[in-house]
Amino acid sequence: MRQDKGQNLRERLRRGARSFDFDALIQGVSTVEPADEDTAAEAHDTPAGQAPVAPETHDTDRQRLRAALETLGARLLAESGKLAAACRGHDAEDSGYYLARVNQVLELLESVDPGGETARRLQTVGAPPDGRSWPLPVWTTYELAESPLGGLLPSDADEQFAADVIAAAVAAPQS
Amino acid sequence: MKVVAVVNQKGGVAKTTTVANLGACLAERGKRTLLLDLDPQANLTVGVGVPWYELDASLHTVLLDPDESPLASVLHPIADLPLYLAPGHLDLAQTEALLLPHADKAYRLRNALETLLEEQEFDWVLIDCPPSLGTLTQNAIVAATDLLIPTEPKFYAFAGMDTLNKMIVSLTRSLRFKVELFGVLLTMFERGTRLHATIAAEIRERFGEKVFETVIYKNVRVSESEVEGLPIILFDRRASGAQNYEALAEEVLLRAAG
Repeated sequence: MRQDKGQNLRERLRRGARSFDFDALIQGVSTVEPADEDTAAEAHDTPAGQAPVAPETHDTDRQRLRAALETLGARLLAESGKLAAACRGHDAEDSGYYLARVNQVLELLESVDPGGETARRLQTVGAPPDGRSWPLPVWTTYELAESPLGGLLPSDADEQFAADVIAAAVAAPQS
Repeated sequence: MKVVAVVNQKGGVAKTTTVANLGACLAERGKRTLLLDLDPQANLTVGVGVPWYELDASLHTVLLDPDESPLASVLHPIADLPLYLAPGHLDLAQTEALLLPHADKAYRLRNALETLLEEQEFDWVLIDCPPSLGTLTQNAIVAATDLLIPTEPKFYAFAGMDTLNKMIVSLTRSLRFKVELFGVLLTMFERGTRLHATIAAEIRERFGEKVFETVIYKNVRVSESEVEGLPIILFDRRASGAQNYEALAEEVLLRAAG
């Protein structure tokens, strides 16, 4: 009887554990190409958003799409981080500049992957969570108030600050 | 030289205890060893007798301003061993947010460590990671050559390692780094507990020879040594906890030798 109980426990454990994936841990990972290893130190200053892994060979549509989504996802995170920092510093001019860059990335993402479904499926960096899409670009104070990007404004920001950010975003040069 | 990030996003699995005591055991075997306390709780720092609250410089200042606060300038010698600590600090809780705008935020520790290693030699660097998978842990993984995962023999261990696996896969998409699993260490083991034995067997089946033969059993003397600010081998060498970590150090050295 005790043996049955022990076996049952082992079986349940095994079934549960089978649903987990440890391959990357067990096999180890490397995004440093063998030829790059000597020069890996030089790569340390490379912005994460602009250096997704090793160079990819774009020999299929799927790879091209993945590369585009990786690059845009990483850029979205990087620019959002700069926007957050500028907002924390109550710098409306800089906040607007980075908001414009975030908007440009969001517009590109919307054109490449409407709804974010592909990014979720490919598990690319910054993919929106289940049931959510990419945030919409924000070009008005109303949209900023409704957008998750509005959460980056400092807690003591008033309407004038939000308006100044939007004005700076609209005036920012397009890259 | 190996740079080992001791990582598990679950708290209370003996990450800090493992870094302090494995580090001391390696140092006692003549290996010049550096401990890095990346946890804002700074338990490792206190656990080896350094009062973080009296410090102006810590890994927080190293990560934020490595020119003003190079890693070499924050090292503290521990006991009379070739053992050094780069202390943690409560301020590390803010580091992640302050690093956010910096494109190289995940590479700060690796860069600081490389600068240090141009001037000083270490055989082992052990990094105590916070119980989270944020920027501080990313810094540890990017700086590391190897990962050591302490884990309790509980079912949640599988979910925790699955999450860590996902995080590593995710990091490969945006960061340049290379890391291998040095080993999985079963900790907080209770003798005579059927569940622990069963789960340990399952972990060994999944991870094979990556799981250390040595098991760290629960031992109150280890907790007492932390109160005294001493690694267990300097507090009570006869304690079973000390013997566990001595055995782990031997196995670690053997494994590193290949």
